[in-house]
Amino acid sequence: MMGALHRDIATIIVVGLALVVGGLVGTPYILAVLVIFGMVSILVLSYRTITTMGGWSFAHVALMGIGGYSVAIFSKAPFEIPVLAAVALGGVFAAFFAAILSWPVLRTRQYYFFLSTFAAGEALRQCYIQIKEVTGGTAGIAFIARPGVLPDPSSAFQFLCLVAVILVLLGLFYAALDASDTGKKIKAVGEDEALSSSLGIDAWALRALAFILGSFGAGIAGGLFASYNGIMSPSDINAMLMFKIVAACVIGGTTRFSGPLLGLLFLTLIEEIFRFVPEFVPMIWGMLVIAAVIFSQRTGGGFRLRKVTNA
Amino acid sequence: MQIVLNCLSLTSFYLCFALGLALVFGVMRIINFAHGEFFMIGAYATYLCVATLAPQIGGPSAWLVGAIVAAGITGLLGAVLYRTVVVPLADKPLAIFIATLALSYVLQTIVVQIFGPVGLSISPPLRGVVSVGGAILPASRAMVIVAAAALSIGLWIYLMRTESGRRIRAVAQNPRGALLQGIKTRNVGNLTLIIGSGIAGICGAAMGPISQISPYMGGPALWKAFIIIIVGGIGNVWGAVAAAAIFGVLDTLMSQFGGGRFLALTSAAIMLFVLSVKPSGLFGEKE
Repeated sequence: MMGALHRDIATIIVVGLALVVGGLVGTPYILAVLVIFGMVSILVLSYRTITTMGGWSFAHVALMGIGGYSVAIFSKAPFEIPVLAAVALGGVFAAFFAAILSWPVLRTRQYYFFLSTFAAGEALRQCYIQIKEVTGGTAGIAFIARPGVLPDPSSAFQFLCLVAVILVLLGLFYAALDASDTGKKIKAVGEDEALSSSLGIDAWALRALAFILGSFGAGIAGGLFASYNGIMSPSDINAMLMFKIVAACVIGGTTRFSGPLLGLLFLTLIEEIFRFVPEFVPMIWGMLVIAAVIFSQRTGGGFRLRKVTNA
Repeated sequence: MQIVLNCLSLTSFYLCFALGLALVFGVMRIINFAHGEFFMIGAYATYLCVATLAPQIGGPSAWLVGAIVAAGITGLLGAVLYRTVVVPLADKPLAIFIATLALSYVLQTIVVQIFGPVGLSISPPLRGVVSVGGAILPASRAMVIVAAAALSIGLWIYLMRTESGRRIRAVAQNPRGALLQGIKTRNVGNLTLIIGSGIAGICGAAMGPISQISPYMGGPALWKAFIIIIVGGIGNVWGAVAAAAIFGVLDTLMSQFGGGRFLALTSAAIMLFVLSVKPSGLFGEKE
């Protein structure tokens, strides 16, 4: 019988390998789908880390934008730092911004938490549009380079390998966190904050830690997105992507790493199956998510939220 | 005076929109993300009514029919939402939030398929302007003020003075206590969602003639409403009124004096500031 940690590690390595193998045998189209899947996988895994503390943030994609703009700005003149270093820097900036944001938003629970993170994320997106001097406004910033460490920066397959490596590294980090004492305490806070506090656990610090470390992954993913697309604009920070991440976690459940990834796989398959009618994809997603939420809640599987006490 | 009128008009809209959301939350502790899409559907229903009926019965009466139809459709949607989502997911607020978020995409897609993604405009039912103390206001904007005032006063009388209004307040205060008093909390929940959604529809009918209507109009309005109900204290109807007034005045002044670019940023900064100082909102009670 494998332990939970081993299962998570196995999941991550299997996904990383599957990406690379799929990229080797697949058509250019499949390759492109896999690159996106890999980057969104980083988003859902980092998002799962946030949810362990009991709060479902809706600012994840907006924080991802910080990573994207960091790469867009710092990989160009006058800074011209290497793209991969800019990606790492983007992760740090996203984490730093999450730390600032955690002061007001982590005072809130449940409804307040997802509403306030939703509003904060939307405000951040408005900043990307309005502060034109830095972000280029609605047009965004174009001509972002691919990482220079790749032998052939134009090769999608090499980029896919890089994404897979980063996914595995970040995944292992999150898995280690999850299995550590700190990770267990974070989950305890998520389950019952009052009880954890009474046992001398610093609930505030642990919730902030989960939020900050999860947002770091969002920043990394954002940097990769910007570098892959070659352009970073506010339209990349869309509500659909946020919905995709939350829906993946809801459908798959967040107890183990495999849940959100399977959820994402499911959503991606739906998206690809209905590729010839893209205008209906949001509706089909929406209906499936409603069905999945109702079903998973009735059977007690899927994700769980602390029951609200009837006071 | 012109500025005062503009403030009043914006406040009315914010209030109209946030009221339904605040009511539903206050009673049932759930957040309906599809509220913005209900608002959008209300506007489209009005558009259809005005487009087909106006030549026969005239603009104002066609609009009135539109508003009633809008409230009817969104009220029905509220009832369906209650049966299919809220009842099976009772006591799971996040699940409901996500299911309604999903619903908002479903509704958006349907409207895009029927009416196309491009914005439409409703011909204003009232033409001309109203002048108050030297300042002027287009008549259809004045109508929004009147509609919002009528809606809030009507809601207040309903909640305070009628039997079913009392039941709603009882459930909002203490669901278990209300149940013990023989109140059918399920019926009250259903009723609340119908009223809240109906308000969204009427709001769409009132706003439709002023702004362009599009399948995506719900999103920005909902975002502002979230900020308003967070600042006012979630579920607190009077808090929502106060916050709507604060943002109505602030946003008008900012656009007036060239700060329109930073509206979203300022609103969010205010929200985050209020949360840091008083996490339950300005007028919210601690839960």
